[in-house]
Amino acid sequence: MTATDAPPPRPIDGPQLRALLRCYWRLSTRGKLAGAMRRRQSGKPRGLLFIAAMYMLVGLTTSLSVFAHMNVFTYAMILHSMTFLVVGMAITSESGDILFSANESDVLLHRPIHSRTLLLAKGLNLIGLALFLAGSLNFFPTFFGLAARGAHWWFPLTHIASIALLSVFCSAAVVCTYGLIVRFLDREKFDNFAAWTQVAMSFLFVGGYQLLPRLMQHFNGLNLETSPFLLPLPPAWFAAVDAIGSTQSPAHSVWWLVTIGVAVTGVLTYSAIGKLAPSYGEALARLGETRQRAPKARRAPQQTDCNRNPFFRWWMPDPIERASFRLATAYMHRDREIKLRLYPSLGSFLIFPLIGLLDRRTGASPFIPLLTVWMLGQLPIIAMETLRTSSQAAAADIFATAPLESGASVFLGVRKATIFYLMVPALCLASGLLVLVIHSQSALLLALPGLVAIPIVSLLPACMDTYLPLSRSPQVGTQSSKNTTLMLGSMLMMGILAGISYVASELNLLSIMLAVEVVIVVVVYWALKRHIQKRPLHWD
Amino acid sequence: MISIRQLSKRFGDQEAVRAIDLEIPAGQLVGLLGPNGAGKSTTIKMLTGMLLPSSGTAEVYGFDVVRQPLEVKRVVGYVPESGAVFESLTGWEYLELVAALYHIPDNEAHARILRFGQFFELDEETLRDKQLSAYSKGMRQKVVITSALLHNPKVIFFDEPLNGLDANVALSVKMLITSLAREGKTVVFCSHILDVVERICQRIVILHQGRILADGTLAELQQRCGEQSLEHIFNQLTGTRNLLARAEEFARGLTQ
Repeated sequence: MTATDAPPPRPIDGPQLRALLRCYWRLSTRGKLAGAMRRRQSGKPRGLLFIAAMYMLVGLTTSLSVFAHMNVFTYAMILHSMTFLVVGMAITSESGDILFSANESDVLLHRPIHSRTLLLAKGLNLIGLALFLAGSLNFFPTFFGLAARGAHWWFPLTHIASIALLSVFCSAAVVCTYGLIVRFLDREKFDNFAAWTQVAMSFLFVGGYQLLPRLMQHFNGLNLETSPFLLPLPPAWFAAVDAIGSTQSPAHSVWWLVTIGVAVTGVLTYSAIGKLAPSYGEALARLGETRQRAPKARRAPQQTDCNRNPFFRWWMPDPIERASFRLATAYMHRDREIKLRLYPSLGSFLIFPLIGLLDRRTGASPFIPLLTVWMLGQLPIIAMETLRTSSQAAAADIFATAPLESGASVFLGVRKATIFYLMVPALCLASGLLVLVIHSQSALLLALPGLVAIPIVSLLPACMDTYLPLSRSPQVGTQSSKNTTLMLGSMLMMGILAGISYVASELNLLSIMLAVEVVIVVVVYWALKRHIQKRPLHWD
Repeated sequence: MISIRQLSKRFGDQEAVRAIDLEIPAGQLVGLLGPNGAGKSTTIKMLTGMLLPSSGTAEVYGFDVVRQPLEVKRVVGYVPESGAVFESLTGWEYLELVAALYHIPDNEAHARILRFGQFFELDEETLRDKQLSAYSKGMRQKVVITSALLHNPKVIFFDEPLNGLDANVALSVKMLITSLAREGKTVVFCSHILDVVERICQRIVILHQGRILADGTLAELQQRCGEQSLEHIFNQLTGTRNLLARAEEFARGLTQ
């Protein structure tokens, strides 16, 4: 067989699609996380099993709500809202790497693949990831649903179908959003717009989970079934599938919801693969173009010169710290991959103050400041973990060739960049909102122990192993799984702290607890920093 | 085999390739030279259907790169400068993927992979068991070259194929390139290693700032420039004058 004997080109080529899907599956299951968790290159996706276990745990806790004597629709609404949030966020944060991997252009763009086949393969890859996460998350809730009011024995089957539909919807929505962006924007504007679109999508998913149901309650109490505000809510569309499957005579509104869900998913999927594929092919080619660009074509945005600025010289007397600060700042501001992975995580801290804003009339929960601080505490960790990963990981060899005794200065520079550019602005914004929303002084004070603990939390990325920025290659699934691991870990830590704070507050011992905590934080901070500084520099 | 007419490529306000004309017949081994940013890779990416030209036309094996990109991609093989591969796949899995993309039946693909493996001294066990991330630079480049040749292309583009290769591997790649041309393949060879180009290429095209500065055999270029080595010809056409004096002055400055 010669190169010219192959069958004529087809928009969707079955054998090519199968080969690409097999390839993407292997790439997904052999991510860094999977690799780190196995001793040999056995190809078994144990890393993914770990992610699945974490998601199952989250699902298990949510499924306990069924014992509040909920009907099928309400229970399904909770599950779909949670799935919509978790899967939507994960797909959003992974989609940049999956859809627009710059490295892939040299591997695949010169092969005879129609852009529709390539986009379909990537879309199915995204759907596969979404199904995996949604399936893990809903593993226990699917069976617990049998205890819901009015549920029949076939509830698990209808729930599996509705979850599959939701996964397709989330993936198609993300592909369509990107497809539209690349169709109407040139390459120059694409990077920033795509990054900010991800932030908007994150808010949409978070909003779908928390804010919109609250808005509904404001207008219609708890009567979810009849509220017209359900119509634009994707979780309601798919919860209605469960309701139809489990109710003998479902209301007309439920049928409407199902029709909207199926129709929107169908239109999005058709648009993504059928209509937007040609512009996707062009976008991939434009990614290649960017790498041809001569240096004079673009000027780097102005940054604070931390070598001259007296504040930065005082804050970071070590020149390695300052250099590392500049490196992290440059990547947070300029690098497309970092922005696409980092920005969607940033808005999460605002969610609780915004909930408080909505609940202001009925009285905001006193735990909102505490939860906000908990979310804020995760910001530097998530940012540092994001900055650890780059497709330019080979360039991190510079840290190995430089005469550095440890990676501590490099880590501390990155840490300070995330504190200065992310943590401080976020803290100011959240504080402003909290003062507006929470009028109880004791509720605000309850957040202080968490705030005091943040410096220790932000040292965690370098405690287990050497932290070097941009030193790990990105792998599909790792970003969302890392964020979830960190979220669960810090949730536990902050939860314990919150419990102690609450008890101390009830016993009027909060000020004493704070004083003790400050001493402990200072000692632990010193010990951790010393541990990081003492560790010799080596990494895999 | 390759026919280029007034081919241009603009990136915003910058013209990377400026209205070049070139005809390369079948079986010719052409060295495409130029300083960094001269437009070599951009030209190759247009000829492989990866980039759309801004203006002009190009045909490869009779297929138009704009109207028939998939047909073009079927008949070309491309070894990218980056040497990019899917690192989490084993060499075998990666080459199987490439074979499937060109519709090569499994049994034939396996036979071809083994034949290339034999030539490049890559044993089957390594290919099957080790992920590409664990390969040395030279081993990986062998896989990249195999992936470019697996479908028996008519036209092959080598963009810096000798980057990072040890002397033995480089020698085998050079010999393979000349043998492919002798077998009737059209080969475009981009490299900064000028003595290699001088030895293996039948024709040399020098690009500078998106334009073709020189095009001919080594003898023709020697006659035109009055220089013997390709290095000096290249420097005369594209480089900085008084290189030795400048280098000596700079080194003095460093050591003082």
